[in-house]
Amino acid sequence: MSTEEDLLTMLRDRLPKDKVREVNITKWLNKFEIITDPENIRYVILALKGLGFNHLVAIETIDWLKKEPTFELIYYLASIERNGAMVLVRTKIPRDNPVIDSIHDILPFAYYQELENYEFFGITFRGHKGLKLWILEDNWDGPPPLRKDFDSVKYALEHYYKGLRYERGDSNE
Amino acid sequence: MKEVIVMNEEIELFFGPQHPGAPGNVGFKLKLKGERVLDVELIPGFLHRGFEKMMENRWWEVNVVLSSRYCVEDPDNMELGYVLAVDDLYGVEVPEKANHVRTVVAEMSRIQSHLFWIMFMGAGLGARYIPSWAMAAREEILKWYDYLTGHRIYHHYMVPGGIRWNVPQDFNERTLHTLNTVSKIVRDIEEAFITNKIVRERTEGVGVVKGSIAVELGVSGPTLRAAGIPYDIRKADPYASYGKVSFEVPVGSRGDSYDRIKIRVKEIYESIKIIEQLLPKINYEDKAYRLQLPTIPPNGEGLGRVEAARGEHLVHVVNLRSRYPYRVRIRPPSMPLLTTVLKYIVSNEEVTIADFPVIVKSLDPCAPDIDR
Repeated sequence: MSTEEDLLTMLRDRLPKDKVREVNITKWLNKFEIITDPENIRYVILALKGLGFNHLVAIETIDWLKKEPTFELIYYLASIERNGAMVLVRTKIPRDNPVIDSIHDILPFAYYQELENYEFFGITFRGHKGLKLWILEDNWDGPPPLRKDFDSVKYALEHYYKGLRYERGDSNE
Repeated sequence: MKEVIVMNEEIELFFGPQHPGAPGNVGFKLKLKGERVLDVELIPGFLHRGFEKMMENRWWEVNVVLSSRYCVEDPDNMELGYVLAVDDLYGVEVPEKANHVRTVVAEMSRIQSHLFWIMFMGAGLGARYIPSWAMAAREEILKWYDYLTGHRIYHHYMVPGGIRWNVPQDFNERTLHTLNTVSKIVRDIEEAFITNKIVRERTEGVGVVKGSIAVELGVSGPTLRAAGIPYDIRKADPYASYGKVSFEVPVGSRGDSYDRIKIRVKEIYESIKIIEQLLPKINYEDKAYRLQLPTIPPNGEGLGRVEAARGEHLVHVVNLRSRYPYRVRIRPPSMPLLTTVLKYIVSNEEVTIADFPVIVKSLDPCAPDIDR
């Protein structure tokens, strides 16, 4: 466990206080959580890359509509030289203006992860040149489908079944 | 006689999804100058089914059935990722027996995935006898799955809290018998295919991804290990029973297609070693193989990280006290292979249109898991 404590103190020392809100240990072994503001995201990712966390695993968006009108973005960064230790960088952006800086020039794989989050959640990544429908290309004209206020059943009925719904008859009568 | 026109201007060529050299349900847009591939752009989406959205509308335990279906070739590691994330959400430790059996099933899945890939690779290089040998070996494993789980392709044997049912009494002998048959065929394949001079000449020095740049491209699994980086989540962040067995992580030195071929074959032997170590540890008298969990998990988040046959598979689940997941994020391993890695290879070496299928196949992408 000492290495975990060491990593935590290292992360707390090397990341400046005005850029990062919190650095926490998570319930998962060897994984840390950094909470930051969206305007500092490039700075934090760049600093973490310098500390060896240069393996971007994924970018995830959670639509917290049922709790508060925000999107939470989670960047999963692993460090291979630190034996697979992982940092989850969490930041929240407002739901009505979902814009955040792109990090694809820092870590190239982010280009495609950002593209995915753009098409499924409608989040605009500032500085990303190729934002378009990618997986859903030529196949989709609705709103971003993974948002919580998107009703997939209603959309499917309107677009694919001409508004008709199959009603199950009562077989006993 | 007609004059031969040498193409000197750039042209765009669509490659796949119907092309025999394409790795499955994906297409590519290639920019060509003469024979040389200048740029490649992935066209996914032919098999998008919206698993992340579908999972939000189904119960926690029902989602196991969905969790394996975005990668046909390696279903059990995908299942294990989801199941680990849900176990983590419940905050439970599954019984030791369940962990051992889960590990055996996951390693069998890795072997059959690598065999399936040998079939692709052999067909791609024109060695027509190799695919039938590899599929014969894979068939043995599918029969073993049928015996254990009742299904051949998608097994749904793992459930949150353990395994679906107890293992039969003759599990040990039956598994060893299957492994013997498989390793015999793999040895044949190694002699006829891996050491084959034509295969070496075709793949050596083709599609080099080497050193620390591979890490930044986001790739993991055999492709990263062929690049010379000994990173394996089974060692770095042990899950299930991987902390209790000893095995080696094969590492390449040149990072070319041939290294990737060699490493996958070595991994089959390592998987066999892991299963052989675990079989005596399974206690057949033990009735504890599955925990009874409440239908509604506690509030919070769960994370599952698995070394699948192609690399890191990450599942993150969020619950807001409901029978349905609030959010399931799946990060399957194939996306970096066909995007960043291919782009890197094409921009760094002279790839001709003839090399392109060999490179794509040596990366072993599973196209459906890009779309999900």
